[in-house]
Amino acid sequence: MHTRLIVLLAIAMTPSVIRAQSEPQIAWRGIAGYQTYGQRDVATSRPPVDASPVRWQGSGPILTVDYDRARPLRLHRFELTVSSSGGFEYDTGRGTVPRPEADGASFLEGQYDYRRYLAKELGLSGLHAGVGVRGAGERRSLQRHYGGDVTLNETAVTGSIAIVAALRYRPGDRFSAEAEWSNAAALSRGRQDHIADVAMDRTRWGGGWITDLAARGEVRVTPHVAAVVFYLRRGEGVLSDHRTYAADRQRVMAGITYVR
Amino acid sequence: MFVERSLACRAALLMAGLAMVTGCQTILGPRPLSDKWNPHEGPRVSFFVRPGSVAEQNVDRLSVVIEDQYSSTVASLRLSYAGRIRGYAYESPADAHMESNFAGKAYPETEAFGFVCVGPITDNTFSLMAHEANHVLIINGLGRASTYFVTEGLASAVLSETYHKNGRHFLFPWTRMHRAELPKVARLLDDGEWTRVPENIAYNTSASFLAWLLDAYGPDPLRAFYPASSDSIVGRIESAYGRPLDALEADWLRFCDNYAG
Repeated sequence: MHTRLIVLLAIAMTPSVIRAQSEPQIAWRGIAGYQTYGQRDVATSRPPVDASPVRWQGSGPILTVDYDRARPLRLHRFELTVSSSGGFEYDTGRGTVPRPEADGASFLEGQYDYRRYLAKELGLSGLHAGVGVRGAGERRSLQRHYGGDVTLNETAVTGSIAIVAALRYRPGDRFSAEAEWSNAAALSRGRQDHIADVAMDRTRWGGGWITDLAARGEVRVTPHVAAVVFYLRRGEGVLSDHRTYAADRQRVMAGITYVR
Repeated sequence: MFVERSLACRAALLMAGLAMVTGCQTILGPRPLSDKWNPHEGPRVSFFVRPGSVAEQNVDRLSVVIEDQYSSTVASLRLSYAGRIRGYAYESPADAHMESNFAGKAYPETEAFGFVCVGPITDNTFSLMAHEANHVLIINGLGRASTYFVTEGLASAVLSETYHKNGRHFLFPWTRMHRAELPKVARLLDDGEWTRVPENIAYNTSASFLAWLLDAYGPDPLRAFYPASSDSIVGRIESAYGRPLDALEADWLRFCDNYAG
């Protein structure tokens, strides 16, 4: 009896706009583009952070497939991304110095987003603020080579939980744009294999953070297909015993959204 | 209900705004790379100095000292590492965001080190610079050690004394003069204890002990215990040298007591 009453009250208190939401819209999205990846080792992790004056950086292709299940004020998104970077170099601040061709990095990422948008428009028709959470996991693999036939291979698996703040502009059915910012706490388990005169491997747990700033724009070109462009700028840091680093990425991507 | 939703909207916007201001990238992210450097290429070490700085006026001397250190470190530890490294000479502690005129940092994965270089250039400048460069050479040659004792101690233990006397000629007499203050080596091998000991005592004691081990036994046993962590390093040392740590420590102290330079 009490349970039924609580359910009825909850339904009564739910804003009418949410109750009136239509069937969820399902969308598949495929986007591809270009990513740059840079990493600097950090000597002092407390602010002001003391990072290397040299950045190890490379770039390469990136591909993302995602699946959206959206209502007007709610979004579930599953995303899978693969990327690979090569052509590494050192940025010394005064120029770049090429690194061995065998230097490389590859990434496999998966993430889930849940987001709610506020019903109230922010002074402009179709402009809504949103908040959400994101769970993400990534496996990265880095290979570096140093003079004297020294190799440093690294693999790391990172899990993170983020809060997301978003601003979505959707004036009609034809066009939409969204900017989002997220800040995540991360837990990482990494293994380094150092191969020189003797081989040494070390596995470490570490904690870290990931801050993303992203923007996405979509223009519907047919009733079921939209063109999409995407930009992301990411900063991240991992602190573990006797080793800390900061990394950054930038992505520029374009693709197609298929709306069922 | 309408009032509540309006409040919720404002609260959410406020939270989002606060979150953006205090994002980890803003607080914990590194500063952008500086481009206000003049590069000077040496055979194996490139120096980056501030225009018009003391370091720029003395860069040839710095280069000679660091090239000698490179050869000495590689030889004394029998490293195969042969990469080009880069030294960044900051003109003040504020420029480097470091604490004092005698401070430096190493960045092995990007083969770089930084140090404060103020006038006049002295033996301390050379040994500071060489200590940081040694971190880069040693970690890239042997991998990362797992204790502060080995990481910090070895970088000073292999200081070349061709151009200064801040290596063995400082460490062994220092050990003799500070016998009463020296913690047990076993205590310093524990990372948890290392940070409780005054910095200069921890650095000099570990450097002195490791320098003596290298002189007495060569690099092979040291390389055998180099990667060990605090919880296993005593056993690894005793296994590598075939003797109890206390016996090695007693021999080291006796040597320092009798060291005549």
